[in-house]
Amino acid sequence: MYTRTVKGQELTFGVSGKLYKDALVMFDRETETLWTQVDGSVLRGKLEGSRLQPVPAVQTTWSEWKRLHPATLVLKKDPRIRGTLYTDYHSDPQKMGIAGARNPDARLPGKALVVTLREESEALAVKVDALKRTLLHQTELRGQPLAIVYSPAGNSARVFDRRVEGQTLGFSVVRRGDEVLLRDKQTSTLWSGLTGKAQEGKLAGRELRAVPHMMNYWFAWAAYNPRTRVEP
Amino acid sequence: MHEVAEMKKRRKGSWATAGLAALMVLVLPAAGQRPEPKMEKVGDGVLLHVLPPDRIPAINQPEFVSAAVADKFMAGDEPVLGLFDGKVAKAYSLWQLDQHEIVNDRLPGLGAVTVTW
Repeated sequence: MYTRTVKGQELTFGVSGKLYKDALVMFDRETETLWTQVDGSVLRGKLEGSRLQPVPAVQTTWSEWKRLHPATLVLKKDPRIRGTLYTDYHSDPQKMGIAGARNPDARLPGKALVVTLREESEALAVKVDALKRTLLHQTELRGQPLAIVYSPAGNSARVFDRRVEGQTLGFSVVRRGDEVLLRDKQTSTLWSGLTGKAQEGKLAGRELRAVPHMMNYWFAWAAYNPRTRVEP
Repeated sequence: MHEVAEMKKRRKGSWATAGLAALMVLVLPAAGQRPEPKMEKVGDGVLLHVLPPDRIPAINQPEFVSAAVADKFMAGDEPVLGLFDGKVAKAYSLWQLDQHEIVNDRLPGLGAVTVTW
């Protein structure tokens, strides 16, 4: 998910029909520059050197999204679409990319799911398997303190900046039904781990800043980011 | 270059396996007529020319419905990408994005955005 205004110009993206390192390559109709989906960088074209600005998005289930955002709009869909085209692809741990890519980095299995982030030249991958056990991973990326939260109900992750009003918060998890709540050690405020909103306590009404991230298969992330850190 | 040669070798018989492969089965002619995709070394990776531009159609004029209407065509466990700009929330079914990959959209608080899958 990216903003599509680059250097003051609004771009319209199309599917180039090309893959780079086994992932989607987009082109923009205005300049025909080729862009990678994984990191928003230019493969070639007039806008070489530019980078698309990522937007925080959440990959979750319809039921969880609807619960959190009852007033949500939904992209109109052909009701005959009742499943993914890629069932086999997602379920087979050996299948990587369309041309049969190899796992470029043995630190994790190729099809391991990771929550991925990038800040300038620093890249971070957090193992979803580990998140499923702990629901929360606290770390930093380029000096930015982060909370990575996992929701079992939506099989979804969120990433938040842990700084609020100049203070860096440290969290522990509180489960309440399908809600994953965070309590900060500094003020004991209770936050939604799914929306980042403070619900009870001294900082009630405040909101943690959502940080752009993706949920990726390891082999694809590692191909684009050979020097990525892996946690935990 | 070694990588490209390896890729060529492995590609045999592995078309309908993964990623965009399912789509290619839908949009390409019969198996025997599939064109050999062009491979190109770019930087430290391989750029694979699989389909002509726009063969997979991006959505440029997205239409939206309410959650109540969407419930008629969305399954509870259907995966979605969700965007929230502080006021407006939008959800995009990944089962639908399988067939489009890109939505060019706009949210009041975020401006022009591209939703990609």
